[in-house]
Amino acid sequence: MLAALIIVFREVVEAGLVVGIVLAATRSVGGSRLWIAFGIVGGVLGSCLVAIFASAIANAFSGVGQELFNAAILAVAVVMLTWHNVWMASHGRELANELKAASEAVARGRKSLLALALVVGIAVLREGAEIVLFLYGIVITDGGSGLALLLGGFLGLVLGGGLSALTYLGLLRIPARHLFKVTSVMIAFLAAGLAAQATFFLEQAGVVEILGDTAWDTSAILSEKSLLGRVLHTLVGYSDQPSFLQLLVYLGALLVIYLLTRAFAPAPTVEPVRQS
Amino acid sequence: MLCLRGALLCALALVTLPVVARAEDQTAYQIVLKGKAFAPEHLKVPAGKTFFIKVRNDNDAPAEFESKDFKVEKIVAGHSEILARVKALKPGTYTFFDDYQADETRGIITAE
Repeated sequence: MLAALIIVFREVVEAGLVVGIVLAATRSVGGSRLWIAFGIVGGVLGSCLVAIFASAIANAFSGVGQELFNAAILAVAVVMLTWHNVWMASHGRELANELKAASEAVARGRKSLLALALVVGIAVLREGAEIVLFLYGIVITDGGSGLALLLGGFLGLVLGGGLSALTYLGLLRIPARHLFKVTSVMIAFLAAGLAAQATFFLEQAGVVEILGDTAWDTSAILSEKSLLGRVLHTLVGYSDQPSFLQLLVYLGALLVIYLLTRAFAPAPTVEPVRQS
Repeated sequence: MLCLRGALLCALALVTLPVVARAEDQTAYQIVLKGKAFAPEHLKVPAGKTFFIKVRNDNDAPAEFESKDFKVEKIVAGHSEILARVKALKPGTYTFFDDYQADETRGIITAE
């Protein structure tokens, strides 16, 4: 049971963190919870589909379908996160002021919410498909004794949900006027990490073969597969053996997001000192 | 939005073309997963050359063929086969395992 719990929890970590960050980032946008819930449900349904078609996906594109599929959905997530950050930079100030008419915020925030719901859906889908396959395997091989394992898996899911809540509540401790800045920076790092992961899948598929040498190997110090490694992997894109190309893509993504955000930000005005 | 999706699909189609051509002309080693064991459990490959591992899963349960040492992580559904690409390895020993039963189901690749 413990093994199942650990495996499932491990997979849920990434999705859990992403959901927590997105929840915090969209806190003051009306209707955001509903969109995020849609994202989660969509992700769960999607993972079942991916699990069912796992074999077909793997065999597509002469055997590298899994890698290309992963790279493609990661790329979509990177674009959506970048877009959200740019959008936030240009409208964030209005949203931060919670006294503004909520309806206006909803209307303006909808597109950005769709983008983030998609990101949540993708995070859930990627982790979810593996969980579905793993639990399915338990059910068909172990039959009766599989119940304890299923319970373990369920507890793992609950723990993942707890991690979401913890991330969310932790971020809420940040004063509202700083929250946007903090979540924007977190989302930028999240996006850069995902871009580096997408690069990894393209490398694995043999699509790109330049700069493939390992930039560093810190697997002995902090394994990417350990819990802390996984958390850092999600939050800042930590990798214990990145290739030079991954490193380049990571830094490039950060730079592009930074420049885009600056380009679209309204001209800085002198902020009046506010009582909170 | 539609434009973006279209562009992504086109890009995907373009980048996959060379892969289709290349997958055929490199060495592929067969590994079969049955019960809790890989056969063979020990694979010898030449160092410094990219190669493929064909992993066939004869179990009902899905598996995840994974190696931290040579960076592969691929799901293998029950009764199906996947092709994993392994980058040129330096001489040495590399382990792989089924991530869903990582304690018991392991194997080694020696590159020399």
